[in-house]
Amino acid sequence: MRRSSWINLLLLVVAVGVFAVALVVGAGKGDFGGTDAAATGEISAVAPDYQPWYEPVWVQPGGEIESGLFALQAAIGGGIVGFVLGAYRERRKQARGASSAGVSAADHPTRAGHDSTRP
Amino acid sequence: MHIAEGFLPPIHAAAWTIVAIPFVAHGVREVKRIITAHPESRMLLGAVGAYSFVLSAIKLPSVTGSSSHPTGTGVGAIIFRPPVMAPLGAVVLLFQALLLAHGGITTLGANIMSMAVIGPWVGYGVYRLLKFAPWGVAAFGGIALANLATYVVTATQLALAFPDPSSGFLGSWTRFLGLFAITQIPLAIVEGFVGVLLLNVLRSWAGPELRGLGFGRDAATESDREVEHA
Repeated sequence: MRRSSWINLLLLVVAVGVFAVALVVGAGKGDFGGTDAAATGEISAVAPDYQPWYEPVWVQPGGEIESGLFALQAAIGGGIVGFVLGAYRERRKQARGASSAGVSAADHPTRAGHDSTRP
Repeated sequence: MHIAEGFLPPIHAAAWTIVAIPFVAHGVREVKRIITAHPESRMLLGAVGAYSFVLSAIKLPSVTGSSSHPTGTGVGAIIFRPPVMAPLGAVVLLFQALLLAHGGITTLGANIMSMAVIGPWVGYGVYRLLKFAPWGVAAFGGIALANLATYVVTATQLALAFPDPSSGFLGSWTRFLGLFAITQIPLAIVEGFVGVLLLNVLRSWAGPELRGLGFGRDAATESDREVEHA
């Protein structure tokens, strides 16, 4: 594996590790309610008389619909990110395949046009 | 960081909306300028917007026993500079306000200011200030602090709107910070690592686009290393 691949793997492992630690430490302290919802509770504590003066235009009928829409949001975002990364990766692969003559501009994309494109 | 619909007094809601409008308008102009000047970076711009879309959909558990979500705005701010994140973040927040009852129309301005304006600017500022450090460290700091700063701003907005009757703004601020900031720290760290991972991948695969946008320092580092290894 290339050095950069090792670094990326390490980044992923560390990110998952921090997530896991947070999960384990937090599990003893609460049931992971959202901070956004907790904030409205806190507002009621500071200003007991405050009444929200506007209602959400549409509230999903039920938690299942809500989690489905959250999943949809993540799917749209993840799909686009994945598509773009895949397209860039394929382009680089093809550029490498096209120039089989050892060290080429495609192998050093960072060297080709290094100064010309600087603003 | 989504202040719920109707949970800012009308004056505050209106004020934050008025403040947010020029940032979004300037951001839209920036997006147009970038698309004209660097048409090849359109996909990349879509990707950083989409990245924020995914990350703000995911609620992560934290050490406090609460859960909260990352913002995903730091990566885009570092690559494209912060102004573009205002309209991109506004789209994310509008989607959540209309379809998920998260945040709201009346609090959209305040939420745009925290997540899509101040967060990205803080992240970009930290990234630039850390220019003496290895770029990965600078990027990590910028991405993590874009996330954390967003929630500090939310706490500030809520404390301004709801000062504690006895201890005033500061008392209220401490309260809201206690709610948001501690919960957010592990999330900011996770987002920092994931963001550096994404930037690493983009540096390998989207080098020409990044260089075109003036991502010069990082490209030089990569180039030097590849030359060393050649």
